[in-house]
Amino acid sequence: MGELALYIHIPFCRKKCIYCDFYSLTSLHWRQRYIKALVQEIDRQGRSLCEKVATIRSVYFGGGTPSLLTREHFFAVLQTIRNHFVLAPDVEITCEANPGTLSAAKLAGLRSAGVNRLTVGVQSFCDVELATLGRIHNADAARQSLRQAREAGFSNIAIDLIFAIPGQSLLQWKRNIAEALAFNPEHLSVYGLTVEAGTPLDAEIKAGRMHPCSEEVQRKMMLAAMHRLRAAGYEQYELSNYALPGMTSRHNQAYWQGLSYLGFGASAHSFDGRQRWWNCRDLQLYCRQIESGQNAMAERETLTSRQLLYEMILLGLRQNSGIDSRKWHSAANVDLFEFVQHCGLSTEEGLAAFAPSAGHHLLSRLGEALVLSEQGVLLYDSVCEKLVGGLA
Amino acid sequence: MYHENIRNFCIIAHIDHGKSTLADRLLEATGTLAKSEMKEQVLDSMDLERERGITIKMHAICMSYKGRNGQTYSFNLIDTPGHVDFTYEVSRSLAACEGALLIVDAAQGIEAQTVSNLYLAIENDLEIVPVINKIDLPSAQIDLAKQQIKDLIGCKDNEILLASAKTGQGIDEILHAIVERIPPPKVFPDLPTRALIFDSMFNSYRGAVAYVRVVEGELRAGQMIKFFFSGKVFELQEVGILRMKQIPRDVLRAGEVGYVIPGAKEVKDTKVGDTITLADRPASAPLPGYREVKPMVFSGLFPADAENYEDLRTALDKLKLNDSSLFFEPETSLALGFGFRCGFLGLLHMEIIQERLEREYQLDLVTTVPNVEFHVYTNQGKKLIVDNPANLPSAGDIDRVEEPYIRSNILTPIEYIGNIMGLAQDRRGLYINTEYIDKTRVNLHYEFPLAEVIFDFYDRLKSVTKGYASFDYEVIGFRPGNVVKLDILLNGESVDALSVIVHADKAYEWGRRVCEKLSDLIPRQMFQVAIQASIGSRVIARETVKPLRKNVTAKCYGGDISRKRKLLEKQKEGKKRMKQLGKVEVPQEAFLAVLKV
Repeated sequence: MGELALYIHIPFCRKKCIYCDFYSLTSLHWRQRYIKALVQEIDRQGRSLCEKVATIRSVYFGGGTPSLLTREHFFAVLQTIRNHFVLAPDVEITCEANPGTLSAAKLAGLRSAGVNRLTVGVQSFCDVELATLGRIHNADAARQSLRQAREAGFSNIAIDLIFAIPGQSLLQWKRNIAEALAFNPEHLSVYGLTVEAGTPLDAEIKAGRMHPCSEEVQRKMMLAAMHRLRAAGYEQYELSNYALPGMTSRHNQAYWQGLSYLGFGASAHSFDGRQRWWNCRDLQLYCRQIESGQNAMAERETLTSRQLLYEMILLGLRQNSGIDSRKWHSAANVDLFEFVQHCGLSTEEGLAAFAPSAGHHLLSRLGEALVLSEQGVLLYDSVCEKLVGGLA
Repeated sequence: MYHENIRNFCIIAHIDHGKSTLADRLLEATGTLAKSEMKEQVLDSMDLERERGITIKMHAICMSYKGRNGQTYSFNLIDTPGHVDFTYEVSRSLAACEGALLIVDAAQGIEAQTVSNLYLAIENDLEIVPVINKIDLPSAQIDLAKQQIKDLIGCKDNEILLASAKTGQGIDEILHAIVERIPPPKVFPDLPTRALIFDSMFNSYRGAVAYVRVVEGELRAGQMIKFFFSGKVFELQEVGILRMKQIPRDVLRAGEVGYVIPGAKEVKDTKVGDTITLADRPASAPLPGYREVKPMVFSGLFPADAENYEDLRTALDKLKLNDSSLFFEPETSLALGFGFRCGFLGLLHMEIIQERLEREYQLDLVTTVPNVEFHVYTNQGKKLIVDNPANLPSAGDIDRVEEPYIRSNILTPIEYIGNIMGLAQDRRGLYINTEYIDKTRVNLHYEFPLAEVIFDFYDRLKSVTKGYASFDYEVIGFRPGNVVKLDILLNGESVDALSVIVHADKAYEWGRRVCEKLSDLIPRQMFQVAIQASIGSRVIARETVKPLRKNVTAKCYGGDISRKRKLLEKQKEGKKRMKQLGKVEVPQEAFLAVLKV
């Protein structure tokens, strides 16, 4: 291992949002015990890896709602990391934060603990939409948090937005984008609302109490975000992610580029380039296992060379860098562009990633890379299915 | 004389009326089979038969019975298949007997199948011994069943036996009646040998095995025998009688029933209904009643996975060894690839073959809409036999088309006559007459185009009569029919496997329903899919599958990657069941769903 990304999962939320199928608890009762276990897990892993491990390029506190932790908690975790790993001088330390759990003091604490990138779960600047999603904050709280984050000295702020919220209009969506831009965030994540099976949102829709946006409206919303954010100087470097030049999320890119990452905490995933493994989801089980000196791993998979190709497709196409035909060739032993043709898909020559294709091609050949066109972005899942299906 | 103690008989009964159970009891009571050896319904040896509760292939068995007079009798029970598709085989079995047990379910009464087989038996001059079975059932209506039997065959009340095959009640009386009432065979041992083949099967070690009734003369191993219709000559390798297994004998004499092994490689050399005689002293004429069995219903059978084409051929070859009525030849479809055009005696025969291929040979099949055979007369005065929509000439070249017709008996309680007449009208039925069987039941006589009954007619009949009506038919010939070829197009390209030949009046309805069904089954794709039904260049129905507009997994971080990949793997697996037609992906279910339109 040369470089590593570390992910820390914080499975607490004050209240569960109706669309969320992540593992999290609304009770803070277990917080102290969990942090202790987390520190133990990092400590134990660190010891066993010590000599092999090189530089940590990113640390990411995700959740759940990591901003529910105290400054001391961050200190404890980050100190344990520093004890065992070498942090790169320009290490990116991100914390996901929800307005409603932030205050000037909390933000200052995060800064002093070493967090240098904040991703704020704004989701919408419309109170009705936030209520629909079951968020604990309103639009004013979001605005205040963003201002306070700047005041606390955060120079790398990311805003999360959700579109296709039941009842959302295209116009309101465009307003949300405009307002987010007014805060000059370095980074924006724009997610189409996904209805996961078994969530309260799923139940509401099935019961006919909520009505999902039509596919046509969703398409327009996604295009609106792409066009508006690019016009504002943001680079769409991944299907759902936009950044000002040089401000991409180093941590998330590790996932998409197939780099190694270690995850700590309940349900956290790790990957070493060939194997992926993950911890049990249940927080109490996680704590008990760590406390009794075991690891908390639930499952491990070793990717076959075929599965590595699948992931090359599904991750490569999400990025504006696309799939590298040389990497593809050495892994698959077939020419990428011939393979694409064999799958019944056509490509346009030299079209920039995610740009509209006059010939309605879904893919473009850009030098050595295969990238999606704008039409291809909108049908990403189908393109993946087609390519994966085309592999012998 | 030896033949005085022989009794050759069969059992006539409707499905479920207890024929097999009764046969089992007879085997048990005569000690042919010890109780400990009993597997329920021994005569139905195929799993499929057992499951469906029907007898597909007939078998024969010889029992020894010690009569009340102290003499030992040789009983040959010849089993008959119980379905409309096998009427001819039934007639040959009957021709091998002198008597028949008529089994009527005490609770159900007489049904159409029983009536038509009974008529066949009477035509063959068989002595009928009526038995009311299942008298132990609480719902038994013995008097009603008695009345029906008396109305039908004009027997006396005391000639009707009462039995319960389940409890064994009445079995002794049946055995006694077989001795007393069924005459021994009339024999002419000195005439040139003639033996009737009433069944044949294939044995992988011995080749074809024919089940025969020797009518005149005798058969011995080592003799040179000749088949009248195939004309082939063989040296007879073995003859014998049938118990639970084949028991070799030196000779089969006139009046006896048994098996012969002629050393023929294929069952098509030992066709049901053919007559065996001796090569050096041949009879001057065959026994009457032989008929070439022709397939009446045709369908394409394709392996779901193209790699299984050879397996399908091997399986069909094997089934054909035992079933000379099965016909097949290679067929190529643009949509479904390589497969076979198969001909069947009827719908049940088709279902059985398909099910056996899937069950016994583990083949996953895609079948096309079954059709009948059409006689097409072209403007050039040529006559074409068309059993595949693909071969129907274009409308401009056709002078006229003739389609097969059947005569059918529908036996029903009178309260459903109206419903049946509605159904019959919908199926282009020609009403002939109504025959009253008793006060509550009638036999409706109709003529139908065969094409109208091969498709779910039986199911519909059952549903409009709450399951009470029964049905059987025979083919009566070809008559002019106003039929057209209906094509289904996906994005303008015709899908050969979905083409059908239908009556012009029904084309619109068929096209509309197929288009609707396909639009439910074809998943949305990256482009719009137009589904059209057309006759020639005229589009008569259309549905559209709207294209996908947005289909994007929003988040793909650490844990999402495995999940997304697994989803893709699952989709890829599902894709194996998709057929690529041009650019359009069509699930295999779509081809099967058309069968249920």
